[in-house]
This record gives sequence, structure tokens and C-alpha cells, in this order.
Amino acid sequence: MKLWIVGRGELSSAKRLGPSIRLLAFAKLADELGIRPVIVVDKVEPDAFPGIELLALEQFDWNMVDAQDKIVATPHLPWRLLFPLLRGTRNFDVDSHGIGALEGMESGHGTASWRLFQGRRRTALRLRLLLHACEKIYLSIPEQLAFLGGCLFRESRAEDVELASRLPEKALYAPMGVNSDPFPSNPPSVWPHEFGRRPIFLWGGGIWSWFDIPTLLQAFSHLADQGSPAILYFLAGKNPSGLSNQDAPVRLAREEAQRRGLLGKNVFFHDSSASPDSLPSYLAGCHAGILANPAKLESLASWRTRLLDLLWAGKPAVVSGDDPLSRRMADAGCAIVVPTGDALALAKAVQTLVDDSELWLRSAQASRDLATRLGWSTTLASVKAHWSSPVRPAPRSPVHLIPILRCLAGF
Amino acid sequence: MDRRIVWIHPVSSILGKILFGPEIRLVRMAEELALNGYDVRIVLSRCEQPLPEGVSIWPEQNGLPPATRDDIILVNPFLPLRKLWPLLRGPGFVVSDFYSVHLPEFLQEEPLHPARVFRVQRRRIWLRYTWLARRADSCIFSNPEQLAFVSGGLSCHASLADVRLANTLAGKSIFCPMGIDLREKTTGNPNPYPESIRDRPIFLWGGGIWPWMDLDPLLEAFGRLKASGSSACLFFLSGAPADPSSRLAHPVEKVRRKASELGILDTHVFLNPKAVPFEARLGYLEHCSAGVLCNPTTIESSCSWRTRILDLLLSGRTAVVAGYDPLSADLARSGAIESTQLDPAEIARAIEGVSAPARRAKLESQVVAASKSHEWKLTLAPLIQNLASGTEIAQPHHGPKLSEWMRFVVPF
Repeated sequence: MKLWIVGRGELSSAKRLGPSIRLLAFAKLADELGIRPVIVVDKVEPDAFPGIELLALEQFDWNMVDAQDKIVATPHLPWRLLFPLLRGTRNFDVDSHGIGALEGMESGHGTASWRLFQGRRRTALRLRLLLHACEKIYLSIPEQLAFLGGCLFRESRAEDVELASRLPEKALYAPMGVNSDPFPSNPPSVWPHEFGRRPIFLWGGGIWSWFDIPTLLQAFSHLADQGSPAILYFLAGKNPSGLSNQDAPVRLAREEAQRRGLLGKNVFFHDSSASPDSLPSYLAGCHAGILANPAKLESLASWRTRLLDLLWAGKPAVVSGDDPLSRRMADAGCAIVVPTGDALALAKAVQTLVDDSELWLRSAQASRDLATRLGWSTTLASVKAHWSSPVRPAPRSPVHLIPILRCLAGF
Repeated sequence: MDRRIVWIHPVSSILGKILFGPEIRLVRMAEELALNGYDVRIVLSRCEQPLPEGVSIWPEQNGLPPATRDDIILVNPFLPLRKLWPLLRGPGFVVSDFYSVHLPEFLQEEPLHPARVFRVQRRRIWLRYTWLARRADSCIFSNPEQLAFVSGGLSCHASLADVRLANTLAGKSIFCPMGIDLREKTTGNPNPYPESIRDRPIFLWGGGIWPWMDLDPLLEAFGRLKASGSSACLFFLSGAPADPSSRLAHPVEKVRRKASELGILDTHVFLNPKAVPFEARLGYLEHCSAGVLCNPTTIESSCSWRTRILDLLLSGRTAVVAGYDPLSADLARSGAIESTQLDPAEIARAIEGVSAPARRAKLESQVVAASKSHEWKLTLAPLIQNLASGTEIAQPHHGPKLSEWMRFVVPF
């Protein structure tokens, strides 16, 4: 039996971002269960991961999948593959751990509003089709389920309302987990010599348009005024996605730091983007992680994987604004969470973690403790139980043509 | 200096002798606001309750209260449209109390309504939510799931402005779920249970039996417990609906029938033959071994805030909860209750475990700490902070568009 994990993006040994780490975790779990994993994405580096079969999307079609094989698809499959999947009778699961629709809500400056409306409708209709057709949907947190429930409930059809109500029966919570490899004991130092022994607060992922960078920089402006030694370091000094329409947030952050006179003083950007291999060095040498969430739906329903890296390294975090993982870390004693947009409170929290070494030690220990409870083996436990179940569902009915056409048309 | 006025517009214009959940919330909110220096006025047609100091009544018969732009207007989303409409267009800092997002509860009731009626109801509720989410300067929810549910609905089928609203709703939302009043007398109440079961471990189903609940797994669990010789029994507090012909009587009858089929009615499952006034529930809580709750795997459970669990916390009792709801999930994480899967064998095993005094004592030791964190003063603190810090008067409001109003009124 094989597990076909069919998604988008690139999988290579050099470029390991969140989505590909997740695909590899699925593959590893399948392997443990005696199921042969095959990962199908846009671009692959053959033989990059021994034991895992990699295939490019353009070489793949559903005829390669046997009747007893399992399928996990991501919501953004190209129509060439999505259409036959929906119109067929194969059972499949959907991995929607990050609901991309939320992040896209505010993007699109300069795009005509009817195009945005159509784009959103297409995303919503695609999710609706997949939710109806799939056997299980993998989500990260209950807030994502509630969001999807609200979307479906707002639709006017009785079958959507019924599905909205029963949606929890289809949902499996499988958030991203903490790296299962032990954290390297003495990774080489990567910090510039000029930092000396100053405490570094690491912004450990991309700078995206949905983060609250102004509050963060304002906080470091306060800290500079107070003579604090704390440093803010952006690990991704260039847009790591490679998509040119996402360059602006990095540029704006750099300009704002420059305008405030902080650039090169207590705010620094990596020259480009740190490689996955160098991540442990950055994590090991930082004092804590830092994050600024705006009070938006995206924050409410996101599972911030950059915080998982901090847990892996046993480092605390300082966060402005709420997100589910930060809240969990705060409950566990390994994060200080201050209100959204409160730069003074954020600055105070940073300085507290600099001054209070006992608090830092306690928080770091709490971080290590929480990491043991959020490893992949825990976060994928429900998926493991599902894949191991001997119960085989009956073939489903194909999705009707009309809703598919509506989705294509975007209304 | 004049105290700032808070006008409270409850959904019911009568505050009777017996207070239920929504009225208790209203009174506690009014009390807390008054304690924090606000001049609180509740819009009512009749009040049979002594009100806390600093809280007065604005007789509804006198018409719309004369609110000014500096006042705070606390609105229940389910006010009749004739009362809601002027508030949507009027002045003041509007706080919309979405603490109980009703929509998910309706889902399971669809068979009771013709599909068209249900669709119209649903659309009307969404229109209310949309209007209030737009107009409100602050929105209150019980938990993040409710906020995500409403945001999901707003973001779908909507104009660009409403999508932005869905995205930013979190920015003007606070979480103030129902709380508990530790002043209530939770000990020394007479034992109200039938003589025959007083010496047995009693598991209390402490609230209504609603149409959206599925009690079969729980009843089957007690079937198994009977077969294994357990003395644990299940007691339904609300086993006698006030109106036997109402739609709410149907689920009670279903429970009675199922228990009878399983041969456990009046041996391991008992339905209270009389309606219980709210204050009298304390005796049942004090003398039970633990509570029990069975959450169906539905979006209603995912978004709810189960106040019956709060009653148990108040009385220092633990619970066995099958399935997911947000409050129980929190309490299970802190070790205050026993959480289990929605499976008769698992539920039976959990009930057997909690029947043992040692296990129960361990859980109850965590209940004490949990009850303190759910006291009204703490659950309402975000509202008090919000009003103290962020009550900038927003832009003038023009209320809903005429086309939306027409969509509300026209029933198709």
C-alpha cells in the first residue's frame, strides 16, 4: 500500500520551509506504519530523501494510484488533478493545516475589488467542494474549524448547513510539531562579532504583511531610548517566498527601522535568508524569540510554526497580540504575551526577560518541557490512528458538475 | 464629575423572580459596571428583582432612552428589530454581547422547521450579526471559536468591506464568558435526591436536555455499567419539562424511551419528576458525586460555553465529559475534569474511575483553583478594561442599508 501526498511547492534538501517539513513528517509517519510514501509536488530533487519516493506534479496522474492506496491532497491542487479527484469515487483526505484564505484577506492592494471578490469566492467554493468530498480534513486548531463552519453555514444550501454542523466529525487536529531530532548541542556561532554579549531577540521567520511590524519597531525604539542592550534580529532579511508581490513588507520594515534610527544600532536584518542548516546556530545564540501579532482573524486562527523552532531550542518568547500557540506557551510559562499594539508593554517584557535571569531560566525550562508535549508524534497522533484504522470507507459519490463549474467561474 | 451612563438593552424586557442564564449575566454585568463607577440603567418593562447598588431601571414604556454620544450602549443581538434598529443608527459607544452565538444550536433543529423557514431564520440572524459587528465599537464573545465562526460567516458571500470587517473583528472583540458567583451558598443544602439512590455514586446531568444533544452514547454507557454490576447512576435534573407539548419535551421523551429499552430506567437512570427552580439546583450539585456531559461531534459543541460545567465548579464538583467543548477542554488540561471519547465503553470506564473516591478527590483538588479563575469578576474584567481604555467615539453611524433591511423583512 502507498500513501500519495499530493501538494504544491518545492521539495529539495536545500529548501525546507514549513509545508515541505510537514510533507516529510507525513512521509515518515507512513513509513512507520508500513505504508510506502510518495510525495508529489511541483518541483522535486530526486533522491533528496532516501526511502521517500518523490515525483513532480507534471509527471503524475490519478491512474498511478491503486484502489487500496491512501491519498492526502492539499487544497490548492491544479484543476487538472482536482477535477478528476472530485468527479471520481476515490476516498481522500485534505490537509488544510494553514487556511490560506485568511492570510489573503488583506492582500491585493491595487487589485480591482471584483477580482478580489472572485478570488475569495473561488477559494471558498474550492474549500466547500473539498469539504463535501473528503473523508477527513486535517486542521491545526479548533478556531480553524469554527471559521470553516461559519463559512459553510453562511451558504444558503441545506447540504452545506448539514455539513457545517457535522464538520467536527471530519476534522482531525494535526498541527505542525516540534522537530523530532535532538537540538544540536554546540552549533557554531553565526552572530556578527559586534553583537558581543548583547541579548538577541530573534524574529525567526518571514516578515509578512499580516504581522504588526510597526509596534515591534516602536518597542525597540523605546528600548534604544532607555539604553537597553537588547537587539532585534530579523532572520529573513529578504522575502523567503521568492514571490515578488511579497517583497514590500521586508522593504518597509527596513525603511521604518532606518527612519527611526535603529538600523544597525539595535535592529538588524540577515543579508538574505538563513539556510535551514544554520537555523540551530541562530536559535542557540539568541536570548529569546519575538513576535508581533495584529488583532486580526489571521492571528486568531494561525499556528505559528516559528514558535515551534523556539521550543525545539528551549528558548522563551515575547509576543505582542494573541495567537493560539503563543497563548499555549504563555499558559505553560514559556512566553510573555502583551496586548496587541502596545509597544511600551512589549518593550517592558523584552527588558524583563533581559534583566531577570531566573525568569529566563524558568521560561527556557518550560519551553523545553512544552516541546516534549508538542512533538510530531503527539501532533500527528490522530492522523496515525486514522491511517491505522482497519475500517475502509465505502466509495463516495462523485461531486456534481454544477458546483465545480460555479467554483471555476467564481460566483 | 458625572458618572458615565451604561444603557443595557436585554433581549427580554422582564426581569422575573427566577433568574436564568441570560438574566444572571445581565445582573452580574450591571453590578460589575456599577462597582466600577458607571451609572447603569437597564431598559425593562417590569422587574421583580432587587437590583445591585448603582443600577436603575429605564421603564421601557417611556420609549427609547435618551442616550448621548458619550454613553455606552450594551446590546443583545437578539433584540426585536424595532428595538435594535434605532440603536444601530443612534449615538453612543455600542458594545454587542455575542456571548451566546445561537446559530450552531439551530443546526440540529432543522427537521423541526420547513427548510424555507429555517433558511429565512438563518439569513435574518446573519444580517443581525453583520449589522452589529459593523456598528459595534466592541464585541463580546465567550471564546475564540465563536469569534472565528462569526468571522467565517462574515467573510463569505460578502462585500469587500465585510471581508475587511471579518478580518479585523478580532481587533474590537473581547472574551467575557459566563462566570460563577462564589457568594452562592453551595454547602449545607438539604439532599434532594430520592432516598433510594443517596448512597450510590450519582452522576448529575445538570442542565436541559436539548434537541441538539445526542445522549445515546451516555445511556449505552450506563447500560454497560449496569451489566458490570456498578452502582453508579445517572440523574437528569431537568427530567420534567414545564410544557410537555413543547418541542423541548421531545428529547426528554427520547431519553426516557432509550433508557427503558436498555432496561436502566429507574435502576441506573433517573429523570427528575419535578421542575427545579434555579436556586434549588445547589442541593443537587452539592450531593452528587460528579457531573456528566456528552458533547456530540458538532459545530455547536465546538463553539459553546457549557454553563452547566460552571455550576459544577461552583460546587466543587468534577465531571466526566465525553466529546469536545472549549470549557471542558481547558478544564481537562488543568486536571479538573475527566475527559473521554464519545464512546460508550470509554464513558463507562471514565465513570467507573471517577466513582472511586480517591480519583474524585484528586480531580476536585484542581476544581477549586479552576473555580476561582471563572469568577464573574475575572470573566468580566476584559469588558471593564475595554470600557476604561478604549471608548473613543467612532464615526457617525447610518445603520444598515435599506436593501439589507428589505432582505430581513421579506421572508424569502
